[in-house]
Amino acid sequence: MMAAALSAGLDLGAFSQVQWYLVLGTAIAVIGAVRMLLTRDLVARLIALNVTGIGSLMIILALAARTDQSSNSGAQATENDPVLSALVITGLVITVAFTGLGAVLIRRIEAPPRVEPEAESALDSIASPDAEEDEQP
Amino acid sequence: MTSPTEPALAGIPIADVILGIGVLASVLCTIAPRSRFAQSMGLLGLGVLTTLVWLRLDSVDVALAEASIGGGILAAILVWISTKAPSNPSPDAAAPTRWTWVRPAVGTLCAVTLTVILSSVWLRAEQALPAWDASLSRNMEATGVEHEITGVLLVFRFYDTLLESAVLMLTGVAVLALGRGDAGARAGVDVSFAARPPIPSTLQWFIRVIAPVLFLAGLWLLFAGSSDSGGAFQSGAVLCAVLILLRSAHIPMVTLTRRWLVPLLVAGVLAFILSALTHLSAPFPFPVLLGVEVLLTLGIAAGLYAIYLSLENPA
Repeated sequence: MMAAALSAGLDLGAFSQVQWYLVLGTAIAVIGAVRMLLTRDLVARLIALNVTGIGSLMIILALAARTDQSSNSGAQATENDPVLSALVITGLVITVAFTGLGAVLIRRIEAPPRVEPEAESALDSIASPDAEEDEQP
Repeated sequence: MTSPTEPALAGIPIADVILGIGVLASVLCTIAPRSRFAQSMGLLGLGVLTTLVWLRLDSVDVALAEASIGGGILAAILVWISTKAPSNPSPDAAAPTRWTWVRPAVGTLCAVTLTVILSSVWLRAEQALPAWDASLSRNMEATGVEHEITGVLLVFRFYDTLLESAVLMLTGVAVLALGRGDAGARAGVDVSFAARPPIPSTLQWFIRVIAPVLFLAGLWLLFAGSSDSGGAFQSGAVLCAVLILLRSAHIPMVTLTRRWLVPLLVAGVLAFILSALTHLSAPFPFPVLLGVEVLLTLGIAAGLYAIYLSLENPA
C-alpha cells in the first residue's frame, strides 16, 4: 500500500485518513475480485464476492466521511453524508440477500441424491406431532 | 497523531494504520486458505474488523448494520454451509497440476497492478464534496423524520428502499421455491420440522437467558437506532438472529413458520407501496412512517429467516 502511495508520487503530508481508507477499500475490492475470478470452488467464489463488497462499501463510506479541507486533521468531525450512509446500509442488505441465495443454490448443486420421501415424512410426524394440527386440509 | 516509525504517513492516525493493516491481513486470511471453514471464519473476522473501520469513520448506523447483518446473519449462513459441505467437490485440483504456481502468481500480479493504478487515481483526484449537502439539510425538516439516514432511506430514496426490501422478499421467495420436499404452498419450509439432534442443556440455558435480551436489543434498534428513530434493517437482522437461536433450542415454532412466514415476508413491501400510493404529494405523517418501519422490519426478519431455513432443506 505504501508502495502504491509512493509510486503515485504525491505530497505525502496530505495523505489523509479518508485517502487511506479509499486506497484500502480499493485494494480489498481488487483482491476479492481477482480471487473470485481465479477460483473454481463455489463457496470460495461466494466469499470472495463478499470481500469485494466490503471493499466497495469501504470506498463509499470513506467518500461519505469527507469533510471540508480545513477540518482535515483531528478537528471534530461533523455528521457523515447521510445519502451515502443510506446507500451503504442498502448495500449490506443486498449483500446478505445474494449470499443467502448463493448459499442455498450451492447446497442444491452439491446435494446428494434425494432419499426416499416415505422415510422423511415418517421422521416428520415423529418429530413434531403438533405439526399435524396445522396441516393444510 | 503521527507514528514515529512511519513519518511518511503523517496525516493518518496510527490507529487507522494498524486497523488497516489488520484488515488487509484478515482479507488475505480469508482469501488464501483452501478449506471452506477457514474461509468463512476469515470472513467473520473481517466483518468484525470492518465494523471497527465503520466506527473509525464515524458511521455508527452502518457499524450497527454491519455488526448485526454481516456479523450475525452471514455468520449463520456461512458457518452452516461450510460445516454441512466441508468438502470441495469441484476443487482447483481439477486443473493441470504441472504449473500450480501460475495461477497465484498471475493473480497477485494483476491485483497489485490494478491496486496501484486505481489507488493513484484516488490519490491524484481532486476531492470535491457532493453538491446535495445543502439542499438535503434544507429539506430534512419536511420529511417528518429526525434521524437523517432514516429520512434519506424512507423519503428521499424511497424507491431504492422499496426495491431493496423487494430484493430481499424475492430472495426469500426464490429460496423457498428452491426447497425440495412436499409439493404445495409451504413446500420450502416443511423440511425444517424434521427431527434434529439433541443439544446440550448449557446451550438451552444460554438461549433462555440471551433471547429476551436480544429481542429487546432488536426493539431498541428499531425504535431508537443510533440516535433517534431508525434502523429497520439492523433490527430485522437481530430479530432473525433471535428466531435462529430459538430454533436451535428446539422451541416449537410450527405455527409461526407455517402461517406467518410468507405473509410477513410480503407485508413489508405491500405496506411500503400502499403508504406511498396514499401519500403521493403530502409528506408521511409519523404513524404511517412508524407502521411502515415496523412492517419492514418484520419483513426483513422473515426474509432472512426463510433463507436460513432453506439452507437445511436440500439435505
